[in-house]
Amino acid sequence: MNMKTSGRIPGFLALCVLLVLAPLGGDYLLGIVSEILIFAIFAMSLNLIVGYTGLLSFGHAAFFGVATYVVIGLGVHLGISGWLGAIAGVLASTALAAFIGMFCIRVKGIPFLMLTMAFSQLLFATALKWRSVTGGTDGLIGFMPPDFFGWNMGSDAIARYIVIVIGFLSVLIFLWYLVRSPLGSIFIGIRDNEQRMRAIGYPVQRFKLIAFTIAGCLAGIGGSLYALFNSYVSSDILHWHLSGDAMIMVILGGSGTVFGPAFGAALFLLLKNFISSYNEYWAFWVGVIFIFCVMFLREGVWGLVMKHFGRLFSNKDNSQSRNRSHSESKRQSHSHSHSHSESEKRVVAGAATGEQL
Amino acid sequence: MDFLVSQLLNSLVFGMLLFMMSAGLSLIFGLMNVVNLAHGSFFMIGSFTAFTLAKWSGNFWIALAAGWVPAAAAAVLMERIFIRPLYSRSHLDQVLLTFGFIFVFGDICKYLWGPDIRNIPPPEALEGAIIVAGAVLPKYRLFLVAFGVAVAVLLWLFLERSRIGAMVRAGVDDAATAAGIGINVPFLFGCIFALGAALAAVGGIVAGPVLGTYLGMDIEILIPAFIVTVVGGMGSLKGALVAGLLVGAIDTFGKAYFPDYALFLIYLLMVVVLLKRPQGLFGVVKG
Repeated sequence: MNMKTSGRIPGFLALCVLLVLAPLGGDYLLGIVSEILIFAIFAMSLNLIVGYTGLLSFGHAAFFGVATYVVIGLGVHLGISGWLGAIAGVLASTALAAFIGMFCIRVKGIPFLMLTMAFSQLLFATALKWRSVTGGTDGLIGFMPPDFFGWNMGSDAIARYIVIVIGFLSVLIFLWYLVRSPLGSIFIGIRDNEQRMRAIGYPVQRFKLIAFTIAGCLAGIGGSLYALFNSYVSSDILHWHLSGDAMIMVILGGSGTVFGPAFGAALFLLLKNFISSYNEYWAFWVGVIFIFCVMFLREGVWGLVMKHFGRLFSNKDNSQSRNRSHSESKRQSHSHSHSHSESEKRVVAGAATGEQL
Repeated sequence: MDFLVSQLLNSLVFGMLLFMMSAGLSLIFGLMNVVNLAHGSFFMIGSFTAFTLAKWSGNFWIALAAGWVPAAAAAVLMERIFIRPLYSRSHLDQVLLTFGFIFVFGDICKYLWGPDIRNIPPPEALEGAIIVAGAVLPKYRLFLVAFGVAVAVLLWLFLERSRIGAMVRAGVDDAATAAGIGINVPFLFGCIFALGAALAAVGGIVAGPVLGTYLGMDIEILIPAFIVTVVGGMGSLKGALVAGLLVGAIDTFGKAYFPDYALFLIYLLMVVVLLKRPQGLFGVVKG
């Protein structure tokens, strides 16, 4: 239909090739890539509420961390297999997100940010103090990763990697379809103009809760994979810092696209690994780049790449690639056979209120 | 009894520090709709600056008198260069921007002062303690409470009696109308941002002899200060004072009597207030 549909298939294939080639780089590289993929899931899940629904959450670590705790906790205390644990972990974070979401969506803007943070800090405090179950700051050790078709995930880095890649690609494809589905366009509608969505007759609160719960579920997938990857968990995983890191990943990569936050996660972790190896002030540089992105590169590094990459493919209409969400809502309205002018109005309204995250 | 009295003093001390932090946070939010996530950084910068000044001069009062200047200067620059260009954008963008500054300020402090825990020595006149009803009350802590009260009174006089204070109140109530009747709102934003940073820095300075000066103190004070701001109501000075004392008391007594649950209490307080009264105890509902 436009440059993005035509660019998506080759892009996806290029990504798959990269993921297939990664094991050739040795176990150290594989470890870094695995970690990047896990945090990419986490960042993409946060972006569903931050970038697509327009709700700024600073407590997303809660859902990631709870899943990790459930997997490791069930394994260490009850000897339950990591696979069952992973399912339980995802269910736990989904349920938790639905529960916390019910309270959080009653408010919006800054109070929403504060409330998400307060809930996640409550969980952090629980993990810190309930030492008999969580191990507190010392954490839980002794988790036995399960087998994957005969390969043990604890001893075989490639087995771990394959499981993580499957998880990552599933989440990526799911989100790609979600944001292009009618449900996804409702989320985008809430972001761009909540009042109008309400006026049209959408139960906005219910859809916010759905977005929040899906995001929690996906974060849980990331958290469960992290448990299988790391075999260890401590209270740090629920800390505010991790929610903040995820926010940095989203902004670095760009909140306007599904893949942006994944790219941001790669950028963030590579910066962290490489800058910190010869300069202890890596946080400074991350902060500087983050500030730069907020001020001048709101579409993120990935958004910038796509803008220039997109121009190469599309000679029809350059303005379409100017703003990702612009063309997205446009495509949505095409598929719903709304009129052209209606979609234009919606986008203009969103831009005027400045809520286009 | 003596335990109770000394805990009461500790809770007042913590309450006053929280008040100094959240008064600025709250005014900045009330006026600019920006939650300054880097507010704890000013607390830390003030504390470190005062440590250096106290070491050079050997005098706590000089450190207190001048230690807040670099933090206020940093705030002015931050507001002018970084936040101002974003006024036309979503408030959430401005919040994100201040989030980035936590890392920048944190590492600048790390570069300048290193990772060691520093201690600002209290002034000689305030060393030692007095004994009331069997409780040992350090003089410095008593001074700190009095100092907090003095700051609260001065701030109240400034807001209620001065011309700029009246402009600030007008801006908190309705920034658009305030701009419409000729108040220079961007100038006001800069003033309040600097004032808030100076208050936080002063808090960090007087906290130095009690809590120590170290990397990471920014986040440690930021989260309870947030809770105070939310509970008290964004934009309300009275709210910052009342909620500061309340959170200070809950945290101190909680840690003394129920050490396992103290952390929960203040978060629970915040959750309950946000759900029952999203504007906070003394906050105004904005149209």
